Amino acid sequence: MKQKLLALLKKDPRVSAKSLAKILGSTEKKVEAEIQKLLQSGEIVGFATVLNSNGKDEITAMVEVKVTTQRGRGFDEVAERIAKFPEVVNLFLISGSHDLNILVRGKSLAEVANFINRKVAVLENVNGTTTHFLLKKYKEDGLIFGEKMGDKRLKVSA
Amino acid sequence: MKIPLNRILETIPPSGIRKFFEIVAERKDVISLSVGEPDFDAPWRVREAAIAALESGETHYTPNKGYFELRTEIVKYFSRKFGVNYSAEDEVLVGNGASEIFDIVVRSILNPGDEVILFMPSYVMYAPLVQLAAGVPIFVKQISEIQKKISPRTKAIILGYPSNPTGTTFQKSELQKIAKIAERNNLLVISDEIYAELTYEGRHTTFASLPKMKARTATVSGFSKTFAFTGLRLGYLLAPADLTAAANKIHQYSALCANSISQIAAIEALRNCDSEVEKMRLEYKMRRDFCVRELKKMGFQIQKPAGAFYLFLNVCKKTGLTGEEFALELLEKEEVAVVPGSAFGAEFSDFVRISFATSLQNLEIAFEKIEHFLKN
Ligand SMILES: Cc1ncc(COP(=O)(O)O)c(C=O)c1O
Repeated sequence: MKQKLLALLKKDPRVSAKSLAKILGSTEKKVEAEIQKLLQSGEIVGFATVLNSNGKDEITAMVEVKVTTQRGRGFDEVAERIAKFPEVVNLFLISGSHDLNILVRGKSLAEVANFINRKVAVLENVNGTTTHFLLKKYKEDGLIFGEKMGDKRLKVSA
Repeated sequence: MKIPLNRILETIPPSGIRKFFEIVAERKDVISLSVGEPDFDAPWRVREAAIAALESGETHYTPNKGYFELRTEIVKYFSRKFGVNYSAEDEVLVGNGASEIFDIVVRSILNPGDEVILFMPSYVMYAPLVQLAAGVPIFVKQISEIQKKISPRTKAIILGYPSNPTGTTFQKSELQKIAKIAERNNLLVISDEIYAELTYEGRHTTFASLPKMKARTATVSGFSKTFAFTGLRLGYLLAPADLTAAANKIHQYSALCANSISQIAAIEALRNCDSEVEKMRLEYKMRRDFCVRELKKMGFQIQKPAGAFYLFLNVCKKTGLTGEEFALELLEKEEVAVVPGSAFGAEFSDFVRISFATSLQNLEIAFEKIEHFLKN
C-alpha cells in the first residue's frame, strides 16, 4: 500500500482519503493513519502547490555557492543554516565547480540581491556566489506550464 | 442510381460500435467507458522522434515490408519479451495496424468456403474480415468445442488474447490444448496478441513459443495498445516466410507500405520505452483492481480480467435489463457510456463492455454514477 499511496499523492496531493481508500481497496481510516505515519517518519516532507508565477511580481534567482569546509564539519552546517531562511525555496548540495545550488525567491530584484549579499555571501564558510536570475519557467516538479489537457479520443471505439 | 455492391459486404450488418458511437457523439458531458484505446498519448520521446523524422524529410515510400531497421527491432523486441526468434529478412511484415495485418493474413490463406474457428465473444473485426475473404467463421465458446466443429474445410483457428472485449487470456495449459488440436488437424493459428504487454497476472505466453507451433502460427500484433500509438497506425505480422511473402503480395498493392514517420517513431518505441510501457501497465492494473472492487461492492459477479483494459459484465442477472437497455439508460440518466455486449455478437445481449482506459478520477465518478443508477 505504501508505494502506491506515495505515487498517488505525488501525482495529486489533493486527492481525498475517501478516494484513496477506494482506489487502494482500503479504508479511509487506514489511509489517514498511513499518511500520518509517513509524515511523522519524514518520508513525506510536505505537500506543495505549484503556481504559475510567469509574469507575476516575483523574482527568482538560482545561486551557485562555493563553500570552504572545515576539518570535522562537512557542508551540512552551512547548508542547514542557509536552508532556514524563508527566501530559500530549494537548496541542493551538488557535484562540480561549486557546492550548493540555491533557489531564492523574493518580491523584487533588490530584495533578492540584498538577501544574497547580506545573508549568504557574508557567511564565514561561503567562498563566493554566482547569481542567475530566472527569466521564465517552463516546467517545475514534473509539471509543464501551459500544457493543454483534454481527451482527444473518439467517445466510442472498438 | 443505386450502386450494386459486393454481395458479401451486403450481408455484413453495420457495426454495433458505430451505431452506439452515433448515439453517444450527440451528447456533451459524457464520461466515456466505451473507448477501445489508451487514454495516454504516445510517449513524448516517440512523438519527438516522429517530429525529427518529419523535419529531416523522411516523407518517402519505405520498403513494402517496412524499414529493415524497424523489422530488426521488432524481431529483437519479440525475442526479448516473448522468447521466439524470427528473421528480420523474411518473417516480419509491417503494416497499417494489426487491422490491416489481420485482413491480409486471412485473404492470403482462405479460399471461398474455407472455415475458420473463432472464439466468441471476440474483437469485432475478425468475423467480417473472414467473411469478406469469402471464408466462413465457425464460432466456439470454449476450447473443448473446437474439435467437434472441425470439418475438412477448416483452415485456421483465430485467437485473440488477452481479449477485447473480455480481458481474459489463455493459460499455457489451454494454449497447449489448442496446439494439439492445430497439429492433429493441420491447422494454421492466427494469434492476435496486440494486448500481450498489458497482462496483469502472470506472463503472456505467445502461441508461437509452444513446441512445433512457430511453423503454423501467424502472430498479429501492433503498437496501438502497448505504446499508446493508435492514430499512428502501425502493426506487424510475424509468420513463416511463405505466409509473410503471401501477405506482402497483397500489402504491396493495397497499402504499398506503412507510414514512414510512424515506422521511425516505432523504432524509438521499441528501443527506449520499456519503462513508459511498464508505467502505463501499472496504471491500468490499479484501475482494473478499482473497477472490479467497485462492481463487486455493487453486487455484480465479476472476475478480475487478466489483461487488456476491458471488463465484460453481465448486467442482466442483476438488473434484468439487456446490455443495450442498460447502456442506453445509463447514458440517458447518468451520462456514462458503456458499450452494449451485442456489439460483440447477438448472444452477448446480456452484457456490456466497460473500458477502464480512462483516469482514476473519471472512473471514480463514473462508478458512483453507476451505483446511483442501480439504486433508482
Ligand atoms: C484485439 C484487437 N486487435 C486489433 C485491434 C486493432 O489494432 P490496430 O490499431 O493495430 O489496427 C484492436 C483495437 O481495438 C483490438 O482490440
